[in-house]
Amino acid sequence: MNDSARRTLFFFFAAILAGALVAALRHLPSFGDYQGPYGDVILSGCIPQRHTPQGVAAVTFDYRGFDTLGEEFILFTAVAGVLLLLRQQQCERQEKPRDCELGRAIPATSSAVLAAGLLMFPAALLLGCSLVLHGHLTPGGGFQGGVLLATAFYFVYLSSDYRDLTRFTPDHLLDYLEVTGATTFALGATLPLVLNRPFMLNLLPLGKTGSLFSAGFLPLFNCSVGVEVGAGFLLLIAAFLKQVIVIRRESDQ
Amino acid sequence: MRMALEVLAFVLVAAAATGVVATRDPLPQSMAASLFGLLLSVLFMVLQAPDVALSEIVVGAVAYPLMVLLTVTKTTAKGAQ
Repeated sequence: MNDSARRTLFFFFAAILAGALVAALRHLPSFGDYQGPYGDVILSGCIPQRHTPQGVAAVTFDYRGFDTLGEEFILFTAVAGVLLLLRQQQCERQEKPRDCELGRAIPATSSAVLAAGLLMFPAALLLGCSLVLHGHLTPGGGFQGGVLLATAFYFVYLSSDYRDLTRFTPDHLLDYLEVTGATTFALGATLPLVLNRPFMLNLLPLGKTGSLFSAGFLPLFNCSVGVEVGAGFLLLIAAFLKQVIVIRRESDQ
Repeated sequence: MRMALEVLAFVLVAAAATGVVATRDPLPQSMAASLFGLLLSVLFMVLQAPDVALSEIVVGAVAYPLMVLLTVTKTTAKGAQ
């Protein structure tokens, strides 16, 4: 097929698509005009039923916690897949991290960057912990807090170097943390089945709305997801960094 | 005021997304994608979805561009072929 025929074909179908899009957009409800019943039901139900003011957390970890459990294992499988793909192959060897671009004058890490890293590491760590622990009270939660916890360690890498990052986050510890997080979530979700109750039923005492230990399973699930996501992201970036910094083909010198 | 903020956020996101698509070289594209992620998280914040905004900042603006950057480095390194 030549270029002009291809272009004609494209414009023909693009016109159809544009027409369909315009027709569909004209029948959308106006911006911000929420019509569905579920939002209102959840918002009026999450405090009396689950003792949490955070409707999003109530949906993701309780009412539709089943979906989150699935997503959790999508992430787990994705991380496992990446680690499997990026492992050291037989034709590859590890070497000490070194600068491949010889003859380049690298300035030492400036004290400003170092100070920023030193300040940001505890700040990000604290904010991450806070987001995870208060996931059932304020916006945030296991996933958001978990990725922030992982980010905290990237400040170590930015303000120092690769060796310090690996010292701070040993791979085998991260492996255990990731598995522990995922398992805690799965076990907590299946626990009601053992007691002959529905899957993922919120068994723990609901407590007083707004306090740290309230909303039953929610804080526990937030913590387990936070640990799993944080460790998963660190493992992921560590695998990529290792590919760039230490893994070389046997044939390369 | 709120309306103006929302429109501004939408326009910025649309512009950044077009920028990402228009950038052909993967290296600058990862930077453009990072900016796009940052603007997208601003949009989520303006639309009152702080939960989504928080994860978008880290995943869209940091983790994803970092993975692209590292992959580009690895695949274009000397002697990689």
